[in-house]
Amino acid sequence: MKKFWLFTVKITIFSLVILSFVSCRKDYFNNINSVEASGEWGVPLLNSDIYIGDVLSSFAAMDIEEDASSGMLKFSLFMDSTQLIRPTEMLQINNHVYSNSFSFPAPSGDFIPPVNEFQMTFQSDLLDQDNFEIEEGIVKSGTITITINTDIDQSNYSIHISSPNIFDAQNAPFEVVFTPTTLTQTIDLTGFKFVIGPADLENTISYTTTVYITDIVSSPLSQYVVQTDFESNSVLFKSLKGKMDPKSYPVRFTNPISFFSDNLSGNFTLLNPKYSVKVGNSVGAACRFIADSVGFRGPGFYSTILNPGTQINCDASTGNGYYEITVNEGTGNELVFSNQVKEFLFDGNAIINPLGMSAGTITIDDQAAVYVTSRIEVGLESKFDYVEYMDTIDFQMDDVKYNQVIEEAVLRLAIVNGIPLSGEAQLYFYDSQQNIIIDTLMPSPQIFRAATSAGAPDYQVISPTTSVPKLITITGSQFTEILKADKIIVRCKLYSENPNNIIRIYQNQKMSIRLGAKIKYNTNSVEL
Amino acid sequence: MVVLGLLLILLQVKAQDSRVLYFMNYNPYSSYTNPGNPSHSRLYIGIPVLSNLNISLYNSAFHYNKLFKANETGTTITADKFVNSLKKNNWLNTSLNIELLGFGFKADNLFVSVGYRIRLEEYFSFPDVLFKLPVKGNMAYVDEPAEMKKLRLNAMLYHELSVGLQYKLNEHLCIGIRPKLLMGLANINTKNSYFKLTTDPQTYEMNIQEQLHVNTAMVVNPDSVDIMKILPNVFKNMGFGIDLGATYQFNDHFGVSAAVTDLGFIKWKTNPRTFKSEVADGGAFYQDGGFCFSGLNTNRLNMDSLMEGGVDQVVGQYKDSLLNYFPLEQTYQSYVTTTYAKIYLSGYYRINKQNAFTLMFRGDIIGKSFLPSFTLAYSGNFFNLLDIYATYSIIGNDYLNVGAGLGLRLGPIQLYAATDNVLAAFSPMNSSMLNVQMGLMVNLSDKKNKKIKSKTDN
Repeated sequence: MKKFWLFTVKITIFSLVILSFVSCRKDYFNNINSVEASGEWGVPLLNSDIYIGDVLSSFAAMDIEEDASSGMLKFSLFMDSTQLIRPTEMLQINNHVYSNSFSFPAPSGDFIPPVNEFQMTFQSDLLDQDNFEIEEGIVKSGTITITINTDIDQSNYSIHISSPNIFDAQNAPFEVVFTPTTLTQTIDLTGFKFVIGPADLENTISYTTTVYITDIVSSPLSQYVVQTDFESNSVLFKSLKGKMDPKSYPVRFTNPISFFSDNLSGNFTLLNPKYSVKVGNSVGAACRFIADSVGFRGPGFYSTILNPGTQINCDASTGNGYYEITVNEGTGNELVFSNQVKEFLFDGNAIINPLGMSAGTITIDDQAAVYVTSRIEVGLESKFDYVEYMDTIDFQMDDVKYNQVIEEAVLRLAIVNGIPLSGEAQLYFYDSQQNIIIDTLMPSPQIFRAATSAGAPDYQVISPTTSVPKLITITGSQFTEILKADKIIVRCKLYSENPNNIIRIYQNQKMSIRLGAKIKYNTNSVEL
Repeated sequence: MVVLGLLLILLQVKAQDSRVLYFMNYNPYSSYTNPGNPSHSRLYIGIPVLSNLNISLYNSAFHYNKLFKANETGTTITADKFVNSLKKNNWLNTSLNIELLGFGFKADNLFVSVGYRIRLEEYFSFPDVLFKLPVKGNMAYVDEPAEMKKLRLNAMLYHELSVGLQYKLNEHLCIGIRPKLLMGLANINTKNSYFKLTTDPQTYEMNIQEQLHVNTAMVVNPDSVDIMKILPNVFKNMGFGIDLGATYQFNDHFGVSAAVTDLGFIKWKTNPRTFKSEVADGGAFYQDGGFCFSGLNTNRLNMDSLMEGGVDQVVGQYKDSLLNYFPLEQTYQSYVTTTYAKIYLSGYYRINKQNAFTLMFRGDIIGKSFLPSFTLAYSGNFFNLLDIYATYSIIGNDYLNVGAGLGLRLGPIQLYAATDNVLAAFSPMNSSMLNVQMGLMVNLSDKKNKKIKSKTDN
């Protein structure tokens, strides 16, 4: 029996051994069409310090910079529309015509004049210029045409016209000689110098006309008449020295303000804006700017920063350069910024030589100019209501496959806020028919609260605020809906929970953001 | 998936360095598992290539029924089930042994055997984290970090010339020694491997610690294959090994044995390369000796690149900078590796001359790793020509290994076959152990043994 049992065991084992060397084959990997896998990955996405200055610079259309002394952020509005005033019209002399005539006895019968020289002096108003007493002027361009009309029937005579007030380009006294064949002459005045006596409102120029006759013969005429016609043409001075009445020029320009945009809106009142206007003057006369309307405006809105009638005086340039004066003015203590602000208006008058004749002799040349620029420098100290950014982003994710793998995604947002402003954010998903798909991705829009600030005078942040980490859960069905979205509207808002509180924005203010995502996936429902 | 498929295809090779061989007292090749195992041969001559062929694969993890299941229309990859089935440490080992020359003879109490064979031994140990982390995600490792200490690939291809000397001191004690000249052909040796991923449960901040030290050598230069240089290189990676063993028989029923095999070393000189990697201070993400990623810092983003080259360029820059944290240093020095020693301890109870039960412990020493196994074996002899063996083994954490062996002695011709897991024949894709050991030789039995056997039969 024992042997039988052992024999049976041996035969069985033998059979198994034989079987073990016979393998069976089948197609083990036929049509693999699904995967059963599930897990959860947590990934840190963002760990960054975001400085408020960088944020503002990104969204605002102005340069944000740090005030070196205080560390406070500030921005400046440069009014690039600098207006240049060139008083060249004062150097332009109107065309004048001046005539005079005189007569003298002609040799008749036995009467032969004992002398052959006849002379007459006239006072012309050729340079008559309203409100400008010329003492000296150098001509840049222009001509004067002198025409002699005479009935002198002598064959040999000449007429000389000279002036003690005029010197040619070589500084020689002015003298023109006419003969019977050259009774009309045009003189190019370029480089000529006019020297006129003081206190002569009409800028009188004296001319002396002298007739020389040689080889006198008897004439049937009883007297000769000499008529002299002067005609000045386009006389333009390079420079004029003299006295003048005040001359007013309008100054007006506007600058569009682009702090806000279609995407960026807001309302806040900036405190203690520094406004500066700079007047440069290369005219040899003092200049005065008188403000009329200077401020920010928009439809139904105006915020002045320079009171009407405010005067800025700029002395005369003493050399070839400009005399510049920068005047800082702070009108009021507040500068309201809101969506209504569209442009900056600068309107007023620049008055050259505001003291008039009593100012004494002044000089104007053709390069002289007066310019006016302005600048506003505003520290970010404000009564802050809000700034809101909203944008629409095209979103095309409908070609994503296997999206049902995502069972749930949780975004975790933790913020330590060192900025004295609270913040909100929300995302809205819309389909191609503009129907809202998801509008409450954020359970509550507020994502951080304002840091605690000290009071006056510096309003420094004394305690950053650590927000309770915000968990944003996106369920699998929400994720599927999101993939159908056509557009996303992003809305971010910085605001003060008490708009009357004064806050200051400093360069070193930042928020530390940690964003992570936890994604739970399950492939069981997916067919490959 | 492709990799898994390939691994499973590999499993279709039905083979194994059989533990059953240890119990085959009538097989002279059992001396490879214990040179002190008394030989019953007077003379044996192996048939080249066929005399001692052993192919083995031990795979503790990749089982078809854990990885796949049929559904209505095809097949599902059951990744969850697979990773949940993984043990803390898992193995994928292969071995190959082909004897090209083998013979032995007995001279009085001394038995001398000579063998020349080609051997491949490969041990790949991997922790469950290797697959569990990518499938289950890092949030499965928030209570304790995802740590891999035993991710190691050690493999050695070499040829071996050995001389076995076995001496029977008396009726009770037999000792044996087998010195071996080893000549390496290829090697990969993981000297050190460490990876740890710690995830902060709140912020998901990831901290990675990593170390790697791997040596490789080949007779072929992978950068410029030159056939003419291969042959001289075949004998350049020299080493020495030894097998030691002893068997003590208390009486006709009880005995014990102990052996250490494959104790040795090879110095690798041909085309050696050492790869070392350790987290380096590559920038801001370096923290406490590791790579700490807490999220992108927008302040460090190159916005110009972002505007000009888009996200791809920025990602490329990050990828480049990441390489600074995980540098891979490559050097070219020769090195020494130990062979993968095995320790055998056993005790047997012989019911009679034909039937015996043996309990054996085997431990594989692979570098710093140790793979233990226990085997209970039944040995039976039938008509003095048929040897039958049945074994049950616990290998590592795998408990389902029922082995069998068969020896057939037809006069001077002896053939044998054995496997450690006969169940693999019925479900090869779900078995941990797949192996076969077989051979064909001319074997003249010891006369004394025959006499003893004849008396017993009478």
